[in-house]
Parts: sequence; C-alpha cells; structure tokens
Amino acid sequence: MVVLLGYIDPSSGSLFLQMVIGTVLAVGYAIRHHIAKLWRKLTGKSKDDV
Amino acid sequence: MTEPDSSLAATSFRDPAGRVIRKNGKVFRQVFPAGSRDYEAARDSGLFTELIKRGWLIPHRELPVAELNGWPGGAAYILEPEQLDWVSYPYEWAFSAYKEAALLTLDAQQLALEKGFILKDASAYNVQFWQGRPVLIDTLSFEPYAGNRAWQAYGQFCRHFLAPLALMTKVDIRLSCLMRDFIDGLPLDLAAATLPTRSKIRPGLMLHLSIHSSSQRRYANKPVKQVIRRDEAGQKLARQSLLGLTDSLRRTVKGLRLPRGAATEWGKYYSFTNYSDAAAAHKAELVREYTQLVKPVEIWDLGGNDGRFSREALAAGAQRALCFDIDPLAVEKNYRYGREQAETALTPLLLDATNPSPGIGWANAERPGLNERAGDGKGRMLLALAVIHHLAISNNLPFGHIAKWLAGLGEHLVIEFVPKDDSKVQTLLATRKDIFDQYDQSVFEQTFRQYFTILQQTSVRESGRQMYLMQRKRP
Repeated sequence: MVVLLGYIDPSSGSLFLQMVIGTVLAVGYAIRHHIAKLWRKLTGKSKDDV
Repeated sequence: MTEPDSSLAATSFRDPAGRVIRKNGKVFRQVFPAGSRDYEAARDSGLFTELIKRGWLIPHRELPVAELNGWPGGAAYILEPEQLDWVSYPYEWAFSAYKEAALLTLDAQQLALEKGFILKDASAYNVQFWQGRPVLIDTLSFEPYAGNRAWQAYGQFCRHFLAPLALMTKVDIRLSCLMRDFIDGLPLDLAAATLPTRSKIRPGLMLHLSIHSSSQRRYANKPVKQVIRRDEAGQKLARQSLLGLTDSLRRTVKGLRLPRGAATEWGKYYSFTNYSDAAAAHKAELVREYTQLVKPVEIWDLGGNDGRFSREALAAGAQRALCFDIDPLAVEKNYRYGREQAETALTPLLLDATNPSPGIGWANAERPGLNERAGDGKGRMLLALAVIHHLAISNNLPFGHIAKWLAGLGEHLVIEFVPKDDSKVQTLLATRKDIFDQYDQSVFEQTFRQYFTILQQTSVRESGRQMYLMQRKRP
C-alpha cells in the first residue's frame, strides 16, 4: 500500500487534477445549465422543484 | 474603551489579511492593511450584500474610521459581525448540519465566481450555526478571481467536507470524529482507502476522492510550474471550468445520504423509555417549572436525545438551548426536526460526556475544547435527565467526579436521579457484577451538596425517579 506521508505537500496534485478535468466539467455544466434554462422556460419550474 | 484582549489570538492567526479579536466582550474582525484591497473589492462589488441577503454570510458593520486606532497590528477596517452565541466544530455536528455546511460553501463559491471572486479557503471551521442554520463567518475568505487560475481551496474542500461526509454515509456515521485528529481535514488517501469499493466507483467520489488522491500522490512535492508544463493545454482554467467543478462537487455532496433505516442505540430512545405517559408529562412539567423559576439565558441539555426537554425549556422562556447527545442518529433526528420547524434557538450537537471535545490544533488551543468554551457558565442551566446511571454505572464514574464537572459547566442544574431498582438501571446491571454500593439516592444527594445547593426535589409521578433543581455553590 502506498502511503501519502504527512510532510509531503499534495497541493500540486489538486491543481493538476483541476486542469485535467476542468474542460470536461465545464462542458457538462454548460449543457446542464442550458437544459435547466430550457426546462424553466417550458414549465416555469426550476429542476430542483421537481 | 478597554484595550483589545488576546484571548482569541490562539484561534485566529493564520490569515495575513486579518484576524478575529475580542474587545469589550464583543468579537470583531480586524482587517489588516494587507487584506484591505480584497475586502474593498468584494464589498464594493455587492458580493457581501448579496451573500448576507441570502443568509449565507454573517452580517457585519464597519466601525467608523475614528475607532480604528489602537488595534494591535494596525487596522484598515474593523468589522463588527453579529455575535455568535456558541462556536461548534465539525466533529460535533449532525450529519445534515455538516452536509448543509458543505453545500453552503459551494453555493457561496458559485455566487462569488459569478461576481468575479473566489473563495480562497474552504475550511469547515469557517462555517458556524447561527439562528438554526449554517452561515459563513469568515468575511475575508473572498478574493478577486484573476481568471485562468485553479481553485486553491479544492483540496481543502475535499478534505474538510467531502471526505468526512463520504465516510459518514458509506462507512459509518461516527467517522466524523476523525476530524478531531486531522485539523486540516481528512487526508484523501486515507478516505479513499477506507471507502468500500462499491462507493469508490460512484463518479463523484471516484473523481474527487480516489483520482484526486492518486493525483496528489503522483505530483506530491513537485513544483506547480513543473506539473503545469506537463499539460500546457490545461493551463488556462477558465471560470466556466471552476463553475463546472463547483457544480460537480455540489452534485456529489447532495447525493450523499445516510442509509435508509439507519438505527443506532438511542435513535428511537423515546419509543423505548420505561416511564408512563403521566411520568413523562410530569417530567416535562417540572422542566418548565424549574426554567420559569431560574430564568436561564441558555440551556445545556446533556444527553438530550431528540431535544424534547430542551424544547420544553425554550417554551418556558429560555433564550437558547444546546442539546448534546452521544448518539449521532439522535442528533441527526433532532437537527432535521429543528430545520423542518424553522427553529432558531436550538442547536443539536454530538457529545460524549465521558470524553468531551478536547482542545485541538496549535498548542491545543486553536479549536478550544468543550470545557474552555463553556466559560464561567453564568446564566446557564444544565439538564441532566436520565443520564446519571449511564455515567455512574455504565462508565464507573463516581458521583463526585460528575458533580464537579457539572458545577464547572453551569450555574443551575436540573438532574434526574434514577434509582437502582429502576428497570433501566437493572438492564445496565444485567450483564455485569454490581459493584455500585455507592449508587444510592442519599449518597448522590450528599455528594452533590458539596458542589450544589438543592433548591427543589420532586418525585416523578408513577416512577421511582427523583428530579432535583440545584444551584452551584460559589467556589
């Protein structure tokens, strides 16, 4: 088992991961955002209300 | 005006932009000159106004310029926030309270991003419970978002919120206690290793815990520039990506729920009590009567389960109540009920009276323990109902130890003595040798009289139990 020792700074890995997944999450977010907007327009309700 | 005291210096020292400081019995937030530019930008953008309007940030007012002199370290601004009655920590919160705190942090991050700002930290300690709901208390956590920059607090959010919530729902609700050992949140490798495999394959947890932990391990101790050079295309992290990241975390946290039918020791306590309806009603009546007599500002209900008697005390005039219990499901039930009823005066918290929250962090003073936070106990009335037998018999605590501890916590005490022939005590004794010769009403009274004056004593109707109202003696 690999153990991440306490004295190692893990922040570089957190930043790197964001860069890798950023575009995918941005696209997903944009699509959901547009669907939610369309839904509100059609039904007058927020998706959270359903 | 008196000088600011340094009693909060041990709890607020990490942020170069400002700190919390106490003066004239009030808590203020001091904005250092180094933090003034970010503070002004957020204030002038309307971000604070909007956050406060939505109930997400504790309201504050700026002190006039004339009052800025004499603050140690210099003050560009002094903010006077609404005063909190009580400060609690993540390892004391109900599961739903913790989850709401996580969602609040993400909501604030999303709103900040939409207004051109970003949360520079995502510590669970930046959230407190005020008027029955979570609020952010660190006004200086916001800074302008320069664009094309990753969220520095992403790792912290996952350690402080996502990892403990995931372990509470997927492994055991009691694992929030790990936050007592890891003041900067649970290491992600520990959380990922502890999660069952079937949970690790859930997309949100896989991404933000398992893959995140692997990424941390892979790039540990590598300078950020070196990491970025490996993926030049990904260097520019647009605001839309951060909104996507926040949304993904939000959906992951929202999807974390306690298993259906989760039941623990005390979750259904009031369904399994051994007293009659008349006895329970009489006990409630006595709590109301004692509260009206003492007129306490604050109630501490120790072993308060689902908060039934805390609510009796509030109905009888107490201003606020902290309802502690050892059982996380009872605390959860109490919290959910309070939220459903939009209660503002009752705060349910997790507490093992035999092992209260200790002081943790730097010099064991950064997050003070329960006893330190209790202060001098003035204006506080304690309820210790149906608790004494658990402390004295289940935990072998002598009456003297219990009385001394309680006298340190509050001015008045309402305590129920459960005699040895009570069926609940007999259940506790069923599987162990009765070594409790001293567990007796007269010994109880004699011992408690060393620390308290007994003001009233009443036998609970249709029960062998006794209720006492006591006032602590001056030391």
